Amino acid sequence: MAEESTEGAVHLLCLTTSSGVPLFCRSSRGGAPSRQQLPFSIIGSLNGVHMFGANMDVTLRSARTKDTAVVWKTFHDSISLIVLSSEQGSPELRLERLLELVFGAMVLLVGLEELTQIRNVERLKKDLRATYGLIDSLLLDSELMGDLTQCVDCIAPPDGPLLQEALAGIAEEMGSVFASLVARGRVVAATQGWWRLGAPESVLLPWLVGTLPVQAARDYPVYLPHGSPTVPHRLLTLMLLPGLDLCMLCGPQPPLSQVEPQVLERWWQPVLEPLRACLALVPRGLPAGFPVHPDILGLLLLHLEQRRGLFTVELGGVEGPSPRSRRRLLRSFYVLVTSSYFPPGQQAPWEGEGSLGGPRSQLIPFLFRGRITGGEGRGAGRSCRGCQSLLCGVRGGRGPGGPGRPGALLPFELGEDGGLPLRERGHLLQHRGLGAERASGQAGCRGPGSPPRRAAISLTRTSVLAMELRVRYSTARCCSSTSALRSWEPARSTAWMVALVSGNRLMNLM
Amino acid sequence: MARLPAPGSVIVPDWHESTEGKEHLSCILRKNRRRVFGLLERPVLPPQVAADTASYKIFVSGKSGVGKTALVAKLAGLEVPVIHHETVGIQTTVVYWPAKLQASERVVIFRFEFWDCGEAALKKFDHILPACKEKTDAFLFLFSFTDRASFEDLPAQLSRIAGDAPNAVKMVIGSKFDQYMHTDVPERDLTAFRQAWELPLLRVKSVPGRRLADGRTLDGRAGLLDVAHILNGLGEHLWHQDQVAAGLIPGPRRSPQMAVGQALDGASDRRGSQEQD
Repeated sequence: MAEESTEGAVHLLCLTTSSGVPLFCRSSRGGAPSRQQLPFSIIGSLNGVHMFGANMDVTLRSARTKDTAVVWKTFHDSISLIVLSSEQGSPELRLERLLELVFGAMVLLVGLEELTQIRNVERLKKDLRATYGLIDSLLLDSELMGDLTQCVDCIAPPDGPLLQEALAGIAEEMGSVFASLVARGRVVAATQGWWRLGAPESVLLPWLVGTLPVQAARDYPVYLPHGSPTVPHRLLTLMLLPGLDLCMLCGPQPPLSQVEPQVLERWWQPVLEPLRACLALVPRGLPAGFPVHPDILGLLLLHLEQRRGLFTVELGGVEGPSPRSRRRLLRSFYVLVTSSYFPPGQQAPWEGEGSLGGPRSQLIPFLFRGRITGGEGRGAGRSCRGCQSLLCGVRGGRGPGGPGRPGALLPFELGEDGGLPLRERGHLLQHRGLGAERASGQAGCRGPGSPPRRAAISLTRTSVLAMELRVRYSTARCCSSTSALRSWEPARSTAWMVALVSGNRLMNLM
Repeated sequence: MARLPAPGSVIVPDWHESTEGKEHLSCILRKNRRRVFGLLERPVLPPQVAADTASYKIFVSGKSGVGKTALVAKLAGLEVPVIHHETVGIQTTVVYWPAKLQASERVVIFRFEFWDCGEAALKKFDHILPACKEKTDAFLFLFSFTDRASFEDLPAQLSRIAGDAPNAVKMVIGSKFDQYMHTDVPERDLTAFRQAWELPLLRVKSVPGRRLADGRTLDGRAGLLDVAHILNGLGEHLWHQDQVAAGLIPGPRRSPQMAVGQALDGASDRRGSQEQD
């Protein structure tokens, strides 16, 4: 694997906007923490150029050199964050989201008031040291995806209702509306109140719990960047099992001393086995008996309305790239899709008034898979022969064509070595509904030379991204409902069926 | 204030290094690493050697930067944070420690729940100190040998934090003792403090723990040997306090002659009670 050769560095700088005093600087290289610091002169000029623009009423948002992207962002006219990234596949969108999340993390632990009315810079610097752990984890290789997707990373436990019941019980006894079970940064179960938490705290709180050093219990003052940025709440965490924390957001009551081991045991001892099962589930995210086709190496399922996501690259297959590499690929793919094809806030062509085929709530999840049959299809095999292809799918809204409108298929080629970089070759396959596709017999594939066409689809309520590596695909199909699928040739559709059913069942689990 | 137990008079001092002790220690170790226990878990011993568990809440107090979090991490066999930052809010750590009682020759598993909180949080939020002090069995007062102000702050800490808990065990721990070349707290000051306050005093070194062969994970057994004197000292005073409270041994009696020189430290603990005369 050529993972080492793709090591880029990320530097994050935080300065006060008015005086340009550096508050902190964090770095990572190749996904691991790095102690390399940028020279002060570079920090100064990076801030200077932004300030110069601001004085001229010009907002400098981003810049790109041959190998590095730089993004600036100022928050509340008080804190400036600058990020430099030479990592592959880090377009500005990803970096902007990173900066927003970093600022969210600063508010979470220090409070907005301290950041906007800076009285003592040295004191603030000292306070901000508490955020390093959380911020570093955002710069490093993470097993989570919430930083990018802005959805809460979840896992789907086999005994969800049992855990939910215990959680609701203890939350009521403790008088907290916001309670959740967090397994290594992923939410296993949560109360309705917890799910109503806005972004970014919904993502940051489990992330924080996942990055803090092991403690039996904590009583952490937290400021909710969206919900309560100036008045702190108390985040109580109780480590039921190593790696599994019960989290509750509370007001002044109850004191931590009141959450005694006896109370915990009364609620959780009866469900000890399901709790242990959650921990065993963590890397995979899905129950062991859950059918996922062996060719699917990674999966990202997003429920954009509920803002929950399931991200896994450890579905059992040992062949192919390492989990770390898979994670990076799927992350890169997500970044590419969201920044190049479906930029946030942009309407898909049919989303104008009156042209909607139906409400968004009727959308169904979708999962793509390529088939390895070799030699079939219109030029598809030829263009990709010898390469490893990454097939990913996005399923979006109902188009004007009616319910049959499926999503777009975006195949991307990888380097011969199977590692990064992820090179977009301009392949964009867009289906015009199942009927059209069936008529043509095979899905088409554009040649490498043709420009990518903007897919007429957006990442809407539910989207499933799946990837399959190490295939020389010749046909790729997509479909929007199981019933339509059944009319396909059985030999080809089995895997599809599995994938699609998986998607639907997953959605029910979440 | 109850009479202080003589070091080694309640708990068999080097029992953890005996064959029987090592056997019991294995319940808090796994593959030579310290086991981390969730709140729903506890160490499991084979049925023939089953032991009672005695739970205590211990509040760790001291000036910012003296190493409260680092001490607790050391006692729990966890990594000491590399970058110092003030602890945000309260964090508690559970440490299990099997020990053998002198009188009954019974093995007891101590469950120490250490409550650690940052000084800034303590000042900023009103709810933290009451929660830490509520039903506390012991107070650990930390000072640093490299920070004289933290030593001079001890009397104020003692009256402010533990002033309204006369029956709780109080112990003083000096951290960063390894840096004795730079010490700001000379021995004569310590002696004077001991005479004035009649409190047990221990010293700990702040050196990185030994690693296993892989060079990364902490060696659990070696780490336990490093902190055994603190855990035994703590267990001893807490157990003694319980006995006094239950009326099993004579109650509070001031006896100035007895108090002098009763302080423990790592060396005297290991040497047993020979320093007592």
